Formats: sequence, structure tokens, C-alpha cells
Amino acid sequence: MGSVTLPVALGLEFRKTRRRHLCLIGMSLLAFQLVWLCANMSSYAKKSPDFTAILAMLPALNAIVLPLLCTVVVSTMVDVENRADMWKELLTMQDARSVVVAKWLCAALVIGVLVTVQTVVVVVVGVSFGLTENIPCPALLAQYWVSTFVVCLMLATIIQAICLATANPFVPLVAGVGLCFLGLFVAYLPQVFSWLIPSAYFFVLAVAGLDFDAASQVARFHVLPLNVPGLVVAVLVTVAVGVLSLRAFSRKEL
Amino acid sequence: MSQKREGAVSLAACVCAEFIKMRRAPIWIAFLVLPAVSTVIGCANYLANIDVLTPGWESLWTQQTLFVCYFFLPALLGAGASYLWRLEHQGSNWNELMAAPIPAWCVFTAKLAAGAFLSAVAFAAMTALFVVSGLVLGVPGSFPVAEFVEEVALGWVGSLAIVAIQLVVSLLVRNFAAPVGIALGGGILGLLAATVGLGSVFPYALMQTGMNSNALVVLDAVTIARILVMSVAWVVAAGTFVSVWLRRVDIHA
Repeated sequence: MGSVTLPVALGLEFRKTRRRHLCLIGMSLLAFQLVWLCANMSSYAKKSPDFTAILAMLPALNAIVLPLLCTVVVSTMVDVENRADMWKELLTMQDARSVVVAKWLCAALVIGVLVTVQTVVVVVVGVSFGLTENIPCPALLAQYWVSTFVVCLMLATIIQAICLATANPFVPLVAGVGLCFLGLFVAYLPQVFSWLIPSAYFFVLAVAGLDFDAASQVARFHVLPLNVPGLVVAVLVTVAVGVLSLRAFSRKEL
Repeated sequence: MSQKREGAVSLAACVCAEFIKMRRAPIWIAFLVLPAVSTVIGCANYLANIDVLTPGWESLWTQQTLFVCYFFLPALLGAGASYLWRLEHQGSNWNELMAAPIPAWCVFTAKLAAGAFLSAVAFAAMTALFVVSGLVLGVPGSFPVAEFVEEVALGWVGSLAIVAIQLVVSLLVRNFAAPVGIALGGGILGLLAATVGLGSVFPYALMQTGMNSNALVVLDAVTIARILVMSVAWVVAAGTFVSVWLRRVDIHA
């Protein structure tokens, strides 16, 4: 078996995604999310110019869209070999671990770009709607980026494990839709349940929260510190699922 | 054999072929499990928010179907449409399809029939689980049979517009996953369309409007007629597009 270094393997994965328009598909999904955010912002901005409200809204929007976005990215990458039934041939030229790690890194880079674009666009759109109070500082934006990226990476790792376990692309897609669904619904239950659902970690690692005073009917938004235990759990789950799927795929009879 | 009879025979054969392709596929389970999960979580939400909601069948219906009909059922229908085209997109099956002596409209109609059946499975599961969960929870008030049947029927008819549009998307986009993202995006746009008064026009809003999941829609005769007419219109438009596309666009692997 030839030895393909990781940078070469990563380059190969990017070449395989050429003309699959992954970034375009990802941007389109983000565009849908931003249209929805703009619709909410236009009514909210008339009442208060507090930018923190956007940061408080984003976990719900992310829970609906980002799990499916990660699923689309990962599923497309793994489907290259599944569709043409190329695994056996590929693994005569490249180590199984190298293939899996390269696909994961490729997905991570694409998702990283998309999360960066989302972060920047949200700030630009928020300011353009007149939400000029409490504009997030670079540190807060970095916290948001890290929180969102880590959760997306966790979801991508879980979906990749499913994609590698089954050749049927319908299964990981349904898992992605299910994660979107559960992540959003569980947010309406006590927070302890959010720790059990991967896609609900957008709420666990939220950078802003809402205090609603029922007596005065006033909502106040506030910034939250980084939820380090939540971040650690997300990273550990990512590593555990990644390692287990890597081992399982390496030993899989194709 | 007359042309009409030939067409009917071709259509019947195509519909049978579609169901044969889906035999033993995991797709059926998803259309049962998603409504089941929605029911369980909807019930939990209903019980947790009983002080805020008005206890009753309507509140239980909104809790169980609100997010499902806006986002997740369209995405699942999108996945189903992708699955229905997947076999044709693999290998040289597209060439086989193009070379088969079957009218183009038969191909689309057969896939629409399969997609409609999948949607019916989801709605049947939602209906059964809603009734059972309501009885188990002891929801007060008499069961609103007429309203409920109307909402389920209109929701299913509205879902046909989504199935038809997604069949077009999955025909054009050979990526399996991307059309599912488009379906989710369509659901989001449908939600926005409903807020600006286009709930009985925009294809991804028809199911939401028909199901009345936010209990804000008045399903009068005009709205019902609009939902039915627009659903049929979108299905016919999608079918016409697919027929023209299959007849005119050259074969490509």
C-alpha cells in the first residue's frame, strides 16, 4: 500500500469536492438562516438597538440549520466513494485512517470557513439594521466562533461516523434532520436535557442569555461567560466518536 | 391498444417499479420515527407549559406539529425525493431510463405517487400518535373530528407541492444531500411567506397553512380552495417542467 501523507490526502479530498459546490451549498443554507434572522431583526430593531438580542437568537437558528449543513458537507464528501463503490480500490492506494482523517479535516476546514462567514455577516447585518448598542467585541465574537465551530465539529464527526458505517446516504441525512429537530425541541425543556443532545449544545454554549421579567413584561439580554464544562464535553465527545469510528472503519470488511 | 390505455399501463408499471425500488429500504422507518419523536417531545412540551397554554386538543396539536411542519417534514420529504432519484443517478441507470419506452410524464407521476405515499405514511403516523397521546394524557374537551380531518387532509395535499418541487430539485441536483438543505431552506422561506400573507400561495407554506400548526389560520372556504388549487398548480408545473426536461435535455452520466 502506498504511503500518502496527510497534506497530500487532504489535497486529494479537496480535489474530490471540486464541482460539488460545497461552499455554495453551505452559503445558501446560511443565506436562508440570515433571511430569517433579518425578518426577526427588522421587527426587533424598532423596539431596542441592543445587539445582544441577536446573539441570544442565534442558538435557536443554529440548532435548526447548522446540523443539516454539517450533514450535507460530510455526507457529500463520503458519498464520493460510496456512490461509485470505490472504497476497496481507494484503500489499495491509501491507508484507511489517512482517508478518514483527511475527510474529517476537509469537512472541518469547510465548516470553519462557513462559521467565519456567518459570524462576520451577522455582525454586519446587525449593525446595518441599527443594532448599535452592545456590539460584540472581538473577544466575544471569538467566543461565539469557537463555541459554534466546536459544536459543528462534534456534529460533523457524529455524521461522518454514520456515513462510514453505512453506504446508504439516506441514513446520515435522516440523522442530521433528527439532530436539528431534537436540538430545537430540547431547548424548550429544562437545560439539563440539552446536555444529552449533541445539537442542543448550541444552547449549552450560548454566548448570550435572556432574562424575562413577567411582572414588567421586559426582556433583558446579557452576555454569558464561556461554558467551559460544556466545551470540554463537546471536545471529548468529538474525540471519542472520531477515534471509535476510525477504528471501526479501519477494521471494516468492505 | 389505444394510446390512453398504453399510457395508463406504463404509469401503473412505473408506480410498481418505484415501490419495488423502495422495498426493504430504511426510508419507511424515518417517516414513522420522526412523527413519533415529534409526538413524544410535543407531549412533554404540552405538559411542561400547561399553565401557559389553553389545555385542549388544539394546544396539543400545535405542540406536536409546529416545528415538524415548518422545517423537519419538508427536509424529510426532500430526503425522500432525493432517494427516489438516487438509483437513476447511479452508474449508467440514467441512460437506461432515457432509453426506456416510457413517457416522461409517467416517470414523474410515478415518483410523485411514491413521494405522496411516503408523506401519507408520515401523516398517518402523526394522526394516530396524536389521537393516542391525547387520550393517554386525558386532554380535556371533545375530540374535534371535523377540524382535525380537515387539517390533516389539507396538510397532506399541501405536502404534495413540496414533494413535487423537491422531485424537480433532486432531478437537477445530483448531490443527494444538497436538496435536503434546499428543502429546509424552503421550509424557512415558507414560514416567512406565511407571515407576509403568502401562506396559501408559496409551495413550502401550503402544508403549514393546511395543518394550521400555529392555530392562527382561519380555514374558511376561500383558504381551503386556495390551498387545493395552488397545490395542484405547483404539482402540474413541476410535472410539466420534468416532462419537458426529460424530453429535451441530452443524456449525461
